[in-house]
Order: sequence, then C-alpha cells, then structure tokens
Amino acid sequence: MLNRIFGDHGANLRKAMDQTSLRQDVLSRNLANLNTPGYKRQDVEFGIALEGQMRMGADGKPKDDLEIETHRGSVRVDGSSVDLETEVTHLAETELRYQMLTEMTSRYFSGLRNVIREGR
Amino acid sequence: MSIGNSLKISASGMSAERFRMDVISGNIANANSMRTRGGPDPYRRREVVLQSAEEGVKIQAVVQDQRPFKEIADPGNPNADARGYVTYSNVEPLFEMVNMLSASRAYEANIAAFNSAKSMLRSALQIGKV
Repeated sequence: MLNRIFGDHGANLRKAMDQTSLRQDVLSRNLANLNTPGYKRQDVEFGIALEGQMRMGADGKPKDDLEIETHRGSVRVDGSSVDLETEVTHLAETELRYQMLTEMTSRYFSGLRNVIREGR
Repeated sequence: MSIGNSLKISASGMSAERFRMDVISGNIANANSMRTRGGPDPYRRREVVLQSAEEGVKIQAVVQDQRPFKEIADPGNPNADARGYVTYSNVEPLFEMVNMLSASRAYEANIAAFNSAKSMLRSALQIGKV
C-alpha cells in the first residue's frame, strides 16, 4: 500500500526533473561553445528520452538511459551548428518545464500530507 | 548533481569569452605599434583558439596572426626604412571591433544560461516548503 503511494508518481517526477536538468546542462554547454569553430550542438530530445523511459528493460523495469543527440548539420561558415536564438529559446523552455515539475512535485507532497492528516 | 554542473559550464564559457576580450583589447591597443629603427618586429595580431570540453569550453592556445605587416610610405618618420616606408602591426581595427561584439554577446548569452540554471535551482529548493 505505502509502496504504491510513494512509488510511481514520485519516481516519474524525479526522472522528468533529472532529464530537464540534463538538458539544461547540454544547452549551457552549447552556449559556452558559441565561438568554438567546428563545434556540433547537442540536445536531449524529449520525445526520444520519454520513449526510452517507457521502454522496459530486461529486468522488467523502465530503462534509465538518457540519449544525447549531436546535430551535425551546420549553416555557419566556421562549421559550428550552434545558433544563439535556438539555444536561448530552448533554455527558456527548459527552465519553465522545470518550474512546472517542481510545482507538480510540491503539490504531490502536499496532497500526501493532506491524506496523512485525514483531510483535517 | 546536474544543475551545479550547468553553472560550472556557463562559468567556463564566461571566462573564455573574457579572455578573448582581453586579447582583443591587447590587439586594439597595439594597432599602431611600429617597427623601430633596427628594433624588433611590430606587434603581431593574436587570436584565441577555443576548444570544447566536457566541462564547457577551454582555451587551447593563443596563436599569432602570420599575415604580412602594413607598410605605409612616410619618409619623414624617424622609424622609416631605407625605402621611406614605416612597418606597422597587422591589426585591423574593424576586424577587432567585430570580434569584440561577438565576444560580448556570447558573454551575455552565458550569463542568461547561468541565471536560468540558478532559478531552476531555486525552484527545486521550494519543493520542501509548505
């Protein structure tokens, strides 16, 4: 019973937050390499990552692998595929997504507390 | 602990851009340095070579520009050679200005990433609050 209360939902939220902060990491690295010739930008594609989470591993548990993709296409003269506008937009999106997840987590915990106090 | 990592990556980007800015300032300051009579060559333009690393970006080397020096006819100058030409450094101020703008914008972009990671960290700290 307790396993079910504390299990899936919290674990899913934690995983999603992990992924979002990994993406933040990768996007920061892209921005740090804005002026590195030949650098290829990397990204965590949420569709792919989520699908990976849903896929079951051999032991019947969801796999924990997060895939970082490298984008080889380039429009710049120096061979770099980093584009300032794209990175900043993705960064803002990631930040909001993370805030949404923290909000959901704290609501989840306050719901649990409500249950523990029997709604009083 | 991924967010702390992200702060470090942004910091490495900021320090690399600041270093580039230092080198560009050195180039501009020496734009009009000339070869003195019988003395060493004038200033050679310097450029920073950046390389991507696991922890963001790192400075690989500072290389000297091997393009020829500027020669300007000025026979009255005490530093003129036998032909009446003065040799100036190979710095192009316009080129340096463009690089300076790019370094400064990249620095700002890193600050934006840093602030966004900071606010994520702050919102994670709010989870435990009532």
